[in-house]
Amino acid sequence: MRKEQVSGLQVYILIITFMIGTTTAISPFTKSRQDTWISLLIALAVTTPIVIIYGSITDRHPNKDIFQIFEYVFGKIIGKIIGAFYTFYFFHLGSICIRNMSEFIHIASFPETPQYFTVLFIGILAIYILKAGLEVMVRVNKFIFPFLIFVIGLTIIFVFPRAHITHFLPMLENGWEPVLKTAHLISALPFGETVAFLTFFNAINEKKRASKIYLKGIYFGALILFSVIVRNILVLGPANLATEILPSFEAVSLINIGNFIRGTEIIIAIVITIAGFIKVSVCLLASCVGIARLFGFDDYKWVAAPLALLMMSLSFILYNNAMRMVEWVDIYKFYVIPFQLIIPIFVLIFGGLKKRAAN
Amino acid sequence: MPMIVIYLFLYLYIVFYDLVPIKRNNYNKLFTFNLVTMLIAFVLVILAGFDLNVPNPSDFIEKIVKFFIG
Repeated sequence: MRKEQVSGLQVYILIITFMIGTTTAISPFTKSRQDTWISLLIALAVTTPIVIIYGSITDRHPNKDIFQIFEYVFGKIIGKIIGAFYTFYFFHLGSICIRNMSEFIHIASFPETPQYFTVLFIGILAIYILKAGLEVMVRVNKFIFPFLIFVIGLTIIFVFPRAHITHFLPMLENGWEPVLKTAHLISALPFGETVAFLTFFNAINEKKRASKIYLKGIYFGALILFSVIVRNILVLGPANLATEILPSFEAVSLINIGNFIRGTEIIIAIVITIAGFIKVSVCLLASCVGIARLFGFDDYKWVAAPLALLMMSLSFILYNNAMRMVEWVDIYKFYVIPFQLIIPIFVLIFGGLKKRAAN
Repeated sequence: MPMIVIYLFLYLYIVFYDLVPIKRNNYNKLFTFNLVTMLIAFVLVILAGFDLNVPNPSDFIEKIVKFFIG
């Protein structure tokens, strides 16, 4: 089976789209209201060393994906157990993303359409792109990426007549506690989830340091998220931000340029849907690679269809309603700590010790 | 009910175009894994289609997290 190869640029663009993914759809960053931009900057500062750890893990073990690295560092049995937990995490994350996307589409565009219908199409497309392979996925993403950035940039420009700089005040109205809690959430929700890329960083055919690619992706993605958050604060204000679960959609719906350019929220809905679909595909890819390593299958594509179907089915039963989904992020930010922080640190330390002992 | 019927067609399509060639090429372990996974997924679809309350991993994870953080 030919080994798939992608470039560093393609992966770094994929990281950006992955981060935009569901974060701009249903935004759970409501607690810090007008101070969310401070939370993002704190989260970026906190996540930078974590992302450097992810990159260092890949740099020290080139040509190995994260599941092979677990087996090398911890031994076959413990490595497979940890790999199983990670596979479940990526699989669960994919289901959450599918549910986020279907809820977003249900609330924003098709309230009369049953959610299982939108989930069906997301799932079919995800199976199709997985069967085509990683190379196709990154090329598709590279092709649509300029469109995503163009649309987001355009909405930021068009929404300026509605912006009020006073919406940033009063700064730190409720103190540092909601800011730090939201910073914790942001570091877990778009930034820390990039741990999924460790499952295919070994496919990069360049000698560039993985930490560099990771950091570029994270920082550029953070820049886009920062622009989106600032736009939402400027347009909606703290009172509306506290109650909105679709702040981006709501902010863009207010665009009205000379009664001519109106109703542009559908374009942002398309952008969010595409980015969310890419995120679902990456999570599905990560879990397929995990299953293939666990069970010793030669190629992850053979398990793409059944895993996608199971992911779709799981997305139906995850939450009872959209509010429960938004509330669950308070559990999510603690649940991911072992996967995003603790285990990667152990891998780095024990991997380094093992290499030193081998030398 | 319409959900179950629509998903049944999708599952049959995947069985026909994915599982049958795998079985024909004698990849038994892969076939077993795929079949079991699809059966579990279809059972979940039926249960969700009839609006039955299914235990989900989110509740279990919530209990574990609350046990540790209080």
